[in-house]
Amino acid sequence: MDGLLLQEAAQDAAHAEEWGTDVMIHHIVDADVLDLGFFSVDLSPLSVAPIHIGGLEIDVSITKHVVFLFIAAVLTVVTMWLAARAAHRLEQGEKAPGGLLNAMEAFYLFLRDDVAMANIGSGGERFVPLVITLFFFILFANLLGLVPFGATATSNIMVTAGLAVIAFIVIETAGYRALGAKGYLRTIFYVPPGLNPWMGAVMLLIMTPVELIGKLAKPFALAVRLFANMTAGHFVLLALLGLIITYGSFTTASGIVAVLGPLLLGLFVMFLEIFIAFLQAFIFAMLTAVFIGLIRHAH
Amino acid sequence: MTTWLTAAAVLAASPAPLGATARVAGQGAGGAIFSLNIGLLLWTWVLFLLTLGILVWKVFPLIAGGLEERQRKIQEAIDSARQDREEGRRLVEEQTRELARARQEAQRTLEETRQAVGRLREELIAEAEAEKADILERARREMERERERVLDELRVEAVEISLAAAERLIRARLDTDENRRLVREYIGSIGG
Repeated sequence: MDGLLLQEAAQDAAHAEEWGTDVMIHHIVDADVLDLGFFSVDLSPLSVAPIHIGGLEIDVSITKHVVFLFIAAVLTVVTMWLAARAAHRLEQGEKAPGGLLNAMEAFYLFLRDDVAMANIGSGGERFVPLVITLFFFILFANLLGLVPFGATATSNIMVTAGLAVIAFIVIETAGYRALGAKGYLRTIFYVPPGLNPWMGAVMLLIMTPVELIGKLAKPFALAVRLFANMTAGHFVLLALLGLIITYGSFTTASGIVAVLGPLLLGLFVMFLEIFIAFLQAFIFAMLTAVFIGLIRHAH
Repeated sequence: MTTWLTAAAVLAASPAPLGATARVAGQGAGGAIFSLNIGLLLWTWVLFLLTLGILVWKVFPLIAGGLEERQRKIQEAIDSARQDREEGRRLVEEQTRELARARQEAQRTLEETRQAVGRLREELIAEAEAEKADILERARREMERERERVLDELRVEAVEISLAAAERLIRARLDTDENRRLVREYIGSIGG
């Protein structure tokens, strides 16, 4: 009897191991199927043939992450629009400020005054919408991953890279516009004043690659930070829940422990994930503002 | 773990299109975490810029406008409250000043009245004194006059009496002592 149980358990364990990486990867990566628990939506009819530009193959098919990114975009617009409508009504004296408007205003004011304006400085008004939109767009994309059957579009490196590229373009353009062509080039080719020509040349030779790497490292860090945070959280959560499958069927006692332990830990990690969803959205928006402010006041 | 490695290997080894692994991801489980699907990047751009556009176009102006409007209203309320307070303080000061002035005025009036009353009393007293003196004087004069008149009358009467007495004397023809006695008797009878 015992032998049989053990054998089964061993089989289950082997199965679970298979399950582990497969399910985890499956959960994280993009797919052309929306897994909604009881049923799934096949997105492959919406896929289009990849476009070839030079050696580059671009597949603009609608995938799971595109759908959830779209939902995040819609949620961002709808939430802000509801707040705006409340603000409009308030302006016309129809209605006292209520819950959603208060919450959104708190976010709006914090992002505008303490994130955008504080880091960019005077003339930062132009970047306020970008910072706020970045925050809410990323926030909703992050939070959608915590919803049952949801997917985290921000745990896809190409999504975070896309956002980082936008941030990069805005940062560099802001620098160019604030410093002028000469000033902007000095952020790449910089010779400290008062250096003799020889040393200047040496400095230029050493510092130019450093400056260039510095420029590119910023968006790279933005992309990887968000991607890694969102991916890692899900891995931790899935690994914890995977423990249930791995150890849950050994004996009844171990089963109870294996179910309760990972569930409680998972709950804790879930709360942590909610916090991280806000934190990472905030960090992305904040760092974009910081970088804009840095380049506008370079040297 | 193996999937990870293969994904990394595919990425590292293939000089082939970056999007190649994307199809793998698209085909379900076992896709690569680092699948570099340029299409998704384009989608991100489209969706993000669309969101940003809509928000900038329709939403942010309303929120910012509402905030500014409220800020303006609150500022106005604060300003007007401050004005009201200053106005109130000014009014109170004015009232206080006015009150002090009125009190002073009343004090002055009272003092004046008191002085006037005092003066008037003195005047009245003086007048009364004068009148009293006058009356007394008049009375005295009257009495004097009366006494004079009475004396005159008395004198006339005395003469009359003397004459009447003399007439009696003569009529009775009595001796001197008898006469004198008779006169004295007569006069005594009058006095009696």
